[in-house]
Amino acid sequence: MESDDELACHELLLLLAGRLPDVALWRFRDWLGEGQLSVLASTVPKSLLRHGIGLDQREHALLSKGLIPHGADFHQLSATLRVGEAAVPRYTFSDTPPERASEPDSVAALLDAALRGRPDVGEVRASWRHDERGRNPKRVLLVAAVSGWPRLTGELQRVLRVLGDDEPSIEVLPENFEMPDYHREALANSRPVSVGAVGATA
Amino acid sequence: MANHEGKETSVPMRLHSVLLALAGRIDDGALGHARQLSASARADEAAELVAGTLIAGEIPLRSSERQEFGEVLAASGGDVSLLEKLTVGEHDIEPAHQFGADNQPDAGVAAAIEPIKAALPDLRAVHAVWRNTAAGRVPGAVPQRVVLIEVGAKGSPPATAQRVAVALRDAGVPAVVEVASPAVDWPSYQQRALAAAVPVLTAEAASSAPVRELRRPQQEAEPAAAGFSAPPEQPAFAAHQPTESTTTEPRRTNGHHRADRQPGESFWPQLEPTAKQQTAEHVREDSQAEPPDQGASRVVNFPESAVESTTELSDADVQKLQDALRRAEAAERAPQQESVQMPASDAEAQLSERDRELLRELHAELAKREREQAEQVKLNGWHRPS
Repeated sequence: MESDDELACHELLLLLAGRLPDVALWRFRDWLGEGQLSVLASTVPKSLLRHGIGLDQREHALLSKGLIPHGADFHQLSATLRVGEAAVPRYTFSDTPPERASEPDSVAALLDAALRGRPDVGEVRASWRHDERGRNPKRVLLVAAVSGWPRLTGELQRVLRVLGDDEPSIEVLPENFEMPDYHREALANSRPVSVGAVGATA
Repeated sequence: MANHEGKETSVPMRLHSVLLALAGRIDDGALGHARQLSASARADEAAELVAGTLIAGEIPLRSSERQEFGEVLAASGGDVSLLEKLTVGEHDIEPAHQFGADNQPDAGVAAAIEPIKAALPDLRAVHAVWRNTAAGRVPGAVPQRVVLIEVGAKGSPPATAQRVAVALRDAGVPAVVEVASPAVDWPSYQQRALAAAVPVLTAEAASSAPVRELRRPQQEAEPAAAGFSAPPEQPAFAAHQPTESTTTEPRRTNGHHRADRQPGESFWPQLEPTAKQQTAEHVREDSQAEPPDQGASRVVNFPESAVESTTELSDADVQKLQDALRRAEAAERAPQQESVQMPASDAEAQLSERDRELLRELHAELAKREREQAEQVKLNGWHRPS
């Protein structure tokens, strides 16, 4: 069972989906899955500042709760707090993979085989994210779960990396998680992949 | 992880050496991202990424490596508190990787590098190989293409690694790019990879004399790779000693024991007939010298290859040229001016107009042969569909 610190970090990293570059986001989620909060305390605030990503009050509270106990620099954390609206990249989502809608989706088949009936896992859905120009399609996996979110994220990331997705986008959503627009739009344009043992609905 | 001469080097170069030593031990994504960050003057981020990857994966460093990495992390401005969490060990440090060259690991590599060669100074050799085993705690897909590049003293290993990695990625040829130089030796991982690799670009021509020095004996030409002072225990660099055969057959950097194919190479289930045929050709190449046109079927030389082919005249060709000059000089000059032992530049200065005309004709013939050979290379290698 993860600690409150880990859960706060997990929620923060969910809220940073589509804002922090994928190459950094999946890595931070991987380290969180291994319980390396002190490593995140050294790296996440700096990464936010380097990429010019400001946090709103909710996100900043999660950052502070998750990482101050593990040695995050107070001044760096303070500098991440944003005033006003953030400039969020505009993605579009589609429930069909690009140019291969009729082809078999072996990744989805493997995920279904691995997650079907799995404890603590609810519905699993997939969406395809496109950038502002409608290019660079990328699979976003939405997984409803009732516990073990960081570790499940790390596990599924490892699976997708072996399958060729170098920077996997795995969104393991806790119950009652207040989703940002990114996840809402992805969910609204998604297709089912699998169903775990829990009757949760993503 | 200091260079073999023990010299002080810059932080990016020291970080480059660290990353070379960690290749195959951390995942390729971390390796490539760290190199990208380092090449973008963000060495602190790169070092912290490496530290986090080592810590999360509980990947051990040797105590000497821990010392060097700690210094690099501190010098780069990274968070040195991460060092406390690193794992140190002396055993089972190097994963046992399997490399193989079946199924054309070099496909598309030369074409991807060609547009950026002007930005890759002192490029000496490029090889490619498949790594059939996973690397790090969070591995990517296998097989993983590994491109091994050797640059001379004027080349920048960090910049070359990043530039080639981007070019390959943009060309749809994803690869891990490893770069060595006279100041940065190949660690054992890259040596093993090189032993199984196929050549993509070779620098044979770099050791050849230019056209204007044709009459100078071949062995007097100053080898361009002479500054590559690899220690004897470094077979990867030793292969650049340009004293071997002058054939255009690609020089195997590590001897290429193709018969010692790793068991993991049977990983490829869908080996196409053409690939099988080409593989068989490579096995033959190792066992016996092939004519240049066959050797070039998978190898593309640097632009200097035209010069190389010109200077690689046979002894008979050289003798023919010298005889022609003698005849021309005998017709118009005193006997004491016939000496063919004089330096080439002096002889040229004393040529009559007729001599010069003869020389021009000979050069024209040689240029024609160069073009024919270059065309052969194009047909067989450079523009091969990937």
